[in-house]
Amino acid sequence: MNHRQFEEWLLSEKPLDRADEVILRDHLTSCAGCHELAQSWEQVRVVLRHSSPPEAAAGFTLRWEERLQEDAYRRKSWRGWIVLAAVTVTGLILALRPAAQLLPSLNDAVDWVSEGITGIFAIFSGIQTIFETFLNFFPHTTPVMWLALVNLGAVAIIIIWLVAMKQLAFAKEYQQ
Amino acid sequence: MSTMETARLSRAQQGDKEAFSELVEQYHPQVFSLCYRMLGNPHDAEDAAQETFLRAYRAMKRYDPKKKFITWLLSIAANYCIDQHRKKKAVLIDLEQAPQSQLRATNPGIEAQMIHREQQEKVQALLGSLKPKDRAAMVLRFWYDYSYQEIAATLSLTESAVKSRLHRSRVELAKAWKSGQETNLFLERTKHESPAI
Repeated sequence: MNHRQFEEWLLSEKPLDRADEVILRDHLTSCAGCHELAQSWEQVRVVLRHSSPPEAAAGFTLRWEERLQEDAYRRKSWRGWIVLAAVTVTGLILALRPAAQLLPSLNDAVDWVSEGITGIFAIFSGIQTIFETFLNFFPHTTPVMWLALVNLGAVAIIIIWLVAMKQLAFAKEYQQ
Repeated sequence: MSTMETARLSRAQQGDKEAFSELVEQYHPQVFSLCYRMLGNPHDAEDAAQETFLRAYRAMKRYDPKKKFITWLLSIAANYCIDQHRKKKAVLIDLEQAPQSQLRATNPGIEAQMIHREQQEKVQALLGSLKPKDRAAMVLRFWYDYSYQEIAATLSLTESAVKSRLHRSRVELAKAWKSGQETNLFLERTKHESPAI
């Protein structure tokens, strides 16, 4: 029998049966390593058992309530900043075009923004073309049932996405 | 679970802040104790315990009343403490500088407090030799009498992984004890300890 088995017996939480106990005792008299492990583990067990759990400083619940209030305030203020940033960006985009007509020097900036937006639309348009090609090809090779399933899957993903967006945008405050 | 506690949990799930505060008052000793065992000092333990209740409060609607509330809380606490360890990479427990003023001994008297402190230092030094997840498994098994199944569910492990982690932890603890004795860390026997030690 190798040392691994004795090690398992030594550290086991279950009591050994009589025969195994005798074998282990015999082994411990002849093996210094296992004897040392047995002694050390016994001492560790005693120390751990005697250690009573520490207590938190008084007023834990009160401090938690304060922290909860601070957290709610921080979250509210973050949400406010995000809304403010979104409104500012939208306002800037909307104001840029008429402003460019008044100040010709802004035209470069307007062109740059317009190009960016056109680029984004071009990417979406590319994805749409690929998707259309894919869908036109499918009816010839795939049974209608499969197409219906794929459609249902796509609809489910869209619904999940919309619900997630709704939850993010209009997250309810937990009652304070 | 008593009817009163069920009612309290139900009120807390509906967003009653007062009911949740009562739960904090009831369960904070166990949560704090776990955090202390995991993080090794009262300041971090306080912070982790507070954060645990904050997370529980936010996720209260997802709590399944069929399960024990304390099991759910301790699972949040254990995973938070493991994350804290990952962030810090390695937490060195400085026994000299660890603030002990907030650790109040259950027994009165300076001597009893000293003994209590020494015991805590020994235990924390031993636990500090384990990896965070092993430490969590060991703490839940040793002080909270969790079954292998409960530990597995709490730490997202399989039962066999829990068993092997616990075995490895016991070997590590025995080794840490031995090396601690060699470096005189635990050399002095405390007054009430057995002479065998």
